[in-house]
Amino acid sequence: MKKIIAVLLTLTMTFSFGLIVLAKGSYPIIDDTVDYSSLRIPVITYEGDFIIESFELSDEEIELGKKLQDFHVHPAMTRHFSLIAHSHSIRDIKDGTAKQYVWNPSSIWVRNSLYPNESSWPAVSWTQSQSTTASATVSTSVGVDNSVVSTSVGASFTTSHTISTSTTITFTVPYQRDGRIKVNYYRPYKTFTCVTKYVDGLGGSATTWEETGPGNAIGTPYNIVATLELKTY
Amino acid sequence: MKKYIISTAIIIVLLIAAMILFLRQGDEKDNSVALETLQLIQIDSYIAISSNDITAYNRGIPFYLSVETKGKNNAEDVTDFFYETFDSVMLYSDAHGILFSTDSFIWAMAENTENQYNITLFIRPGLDEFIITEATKVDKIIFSANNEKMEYDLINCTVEAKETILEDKLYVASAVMLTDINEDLSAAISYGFFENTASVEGIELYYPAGFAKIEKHDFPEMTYRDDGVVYYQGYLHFLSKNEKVVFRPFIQVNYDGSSGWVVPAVPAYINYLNQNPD
Repeated sequence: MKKIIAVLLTLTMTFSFGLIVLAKGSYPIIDDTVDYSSLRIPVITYEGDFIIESFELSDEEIELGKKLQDFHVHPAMTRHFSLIAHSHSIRDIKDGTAKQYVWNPSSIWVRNSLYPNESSWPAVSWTQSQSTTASATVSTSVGVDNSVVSTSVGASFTTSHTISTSTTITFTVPYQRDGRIKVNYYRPYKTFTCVTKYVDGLGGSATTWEETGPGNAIGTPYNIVATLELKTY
Repeated sequence: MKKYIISTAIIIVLLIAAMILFLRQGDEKDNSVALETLQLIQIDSYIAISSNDITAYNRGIPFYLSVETKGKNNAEDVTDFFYETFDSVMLYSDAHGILFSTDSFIWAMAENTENQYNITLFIRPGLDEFIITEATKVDKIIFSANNEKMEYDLINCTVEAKETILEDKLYVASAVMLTDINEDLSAAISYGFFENTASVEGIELYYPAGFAKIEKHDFPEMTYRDDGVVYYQGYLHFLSKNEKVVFRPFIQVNYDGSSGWVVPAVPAYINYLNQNPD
């Protein structure tokens, strides 16, 4: 009995290694351990008086995104574990409800309890040195890499964005008021299905099957509005 | 004797040097603001004010300006300079003559780029000092600074007054101050209302038809409550690009089965997007 088990184990291992060799021999090997995010190119967009600093993908990251959508194998298991050749993609891309965000350049309310004389009212402003980062918010499954999402819906959905202003506007806080600046903005929200498609390269005709899972991503800020909040206390 | 003459001469030379230094410092301070660069940075302006409520900015008439400076200075220095230099301001209408004059200003300024400051000026007429019964075009703003007149043409500036709801019921606690016109020619706006004793049921904007190429406005279902304030977020839809728009509409608030007007604390300053410098 032990001999039979040993023979079966040997056969299984030989088969598995053979599969890997066959897979590696038939499909490109993609090194998925490389992180190209540091190569991204900053891009500045001026929208009215607002400045949005975003990033474009490097050629390397775009190339990776394209290659991952063709059948391939990985030499390492950084992204996901699979001994079988496969490809990644997303589908069923839908626009969801935009996400709303609020940011206070200064979270502290400026209280004018001391200066009834209007020439002494304290000021509040959003200056050029104050910025907020809308971080990259992307969620994938079944081993789909962000670069695949980028090539499908654009890098704006997989990279961060920084919002600042090019025009400083200042207002004073009237007597017996609290004042502060608040910035509202929206980001588009997309949902999609992540797909990893496998191919069995053995035999005369290859068979394929796929795994699917949820995914979503949030894009470039828009509809930026700076407001002055003045409240009695 | 000789020593006495030399000492006296040295003292005199030192005194003269100190005087020159003092005068130069004085000149530098006076010249730190290049008053000749003062300019209005607004084109189309519509300003709603209250005809019955003097509190805060309810009767404040705002103007947006910029000025360049020389040497080292900060917002406090520049603000002080304006308070010290400007004696009075007058609003003038070609149709009605002098509308309002005051020696009381509210200057606020911040450095926008190096040696360039953006300024917001509020003047707050008293209830009896500035009475208008219809939308009134203001054609000039005339400053008196160091006994010299500085006159600026206002391209399309209208001020209108209506009786507004008093704060014991509700007031505008949040007002859009800066927004941009998107590629689809819409500009996002936002107003928040603090409900003291009244509950807001809905709002509507009022401004002159066709003002600043605004075709229409809408308030989709983007309302939320936060910290006692009910927020309404909507859009202005422009017919074409526009810039340097100063927009403070009246807001008609429906509350508790009734309705009345309020004015936002400050105007929205609106520019078209893609102002990419070449």
